[in-house]
Amino acid sequence: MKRQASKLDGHEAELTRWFREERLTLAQAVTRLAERGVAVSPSRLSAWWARYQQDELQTEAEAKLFADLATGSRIAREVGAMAADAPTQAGTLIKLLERLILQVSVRGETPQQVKVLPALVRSAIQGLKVQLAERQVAVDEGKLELLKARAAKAEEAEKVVGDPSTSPEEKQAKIRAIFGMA
Amino acid sequence: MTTRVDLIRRILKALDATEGFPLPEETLIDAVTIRFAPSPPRADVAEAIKRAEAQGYISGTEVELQGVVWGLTAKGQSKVRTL
Repeated sequence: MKRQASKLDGHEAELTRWFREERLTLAQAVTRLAERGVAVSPSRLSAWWARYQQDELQTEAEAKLFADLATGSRIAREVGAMAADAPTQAGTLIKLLERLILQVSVRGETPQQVKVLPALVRSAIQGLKVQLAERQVAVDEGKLELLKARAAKAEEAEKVVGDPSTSPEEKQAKIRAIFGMA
Repeated sequence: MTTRVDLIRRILKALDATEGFPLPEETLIDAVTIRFAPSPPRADVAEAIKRAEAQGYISGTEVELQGVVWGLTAKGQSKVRTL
C-alpha cells in the first residue's frame, strides 16, 4: 500500500502503542511527538492515523485473501486432477466444481465441506466407475446370451439341412421357423 | 481510493497465491474487490487486468465453461517477487 511520505513515518510503533495501549488523546500524542522534535497538528496526526489504520486493514485483508486463495486453489487443483481419470459425464461437473471452490475461497467462506470435497469427489467418481463397469458387464452378458441363442439356432438349422429324410420345401419351412421368419 | 498500481499489485499477488492455478476473470475481479473497503469499482479492476496484460505480467486464455482464465507470465512471476 503506497502512502505519501510523512514525517510521522518511522513512528508507527510508538503511535500504535500510545493510541491502542495507553489510550492517549490526539492532543497528548501531539505533545509527546513535540517532545521528540516532531511538530505536527492534531488534524494532521488524526488524518495520518486514519490512513495508517486503513492501510493496516487492507494489509490484513490481503494476507487473509492470499491465504484463502492458496487453500482454494490447492483444493481446486486436487479436484481438477481427478477429471483426467473420471468418466466423461463427471468431467464437466468437476470443471464447475473447480470454479465454485475458487469463488467460495475468494469470498472467505471456505466451509469444512469444501475442504473434504476432494475425498467426496474421489468417492463419487469411484462409485460412478463401478456403476459403469456393472452396466458394461450387463451389456456384455446380454450380448453373450444373444450370441448363444444365435449359435443354437445355427446348430438347429444345420441339423435340418443335413437331414436326408426332409424335403427341400420342408427344410426351407423349418429354417424359416427357426429364425422366426414369416 | 485504490490506485491502479495497487490494483495491479493485488492482481499479481492474488494470481501468485494460487501457485499457477488460473483464475477465471470474474473470480479474479471478486478477489480484488469483495473483501476490501472501500471496494474498488469492478470496471477499474477490469481495466487494471488489461493493463497488467499489456505490461506482459499476466496472460488470459479462453476456457470452455469458465470464460477467460488468467495466470502469471514469467515476467509477472519476477515482478511479484519484487512487490
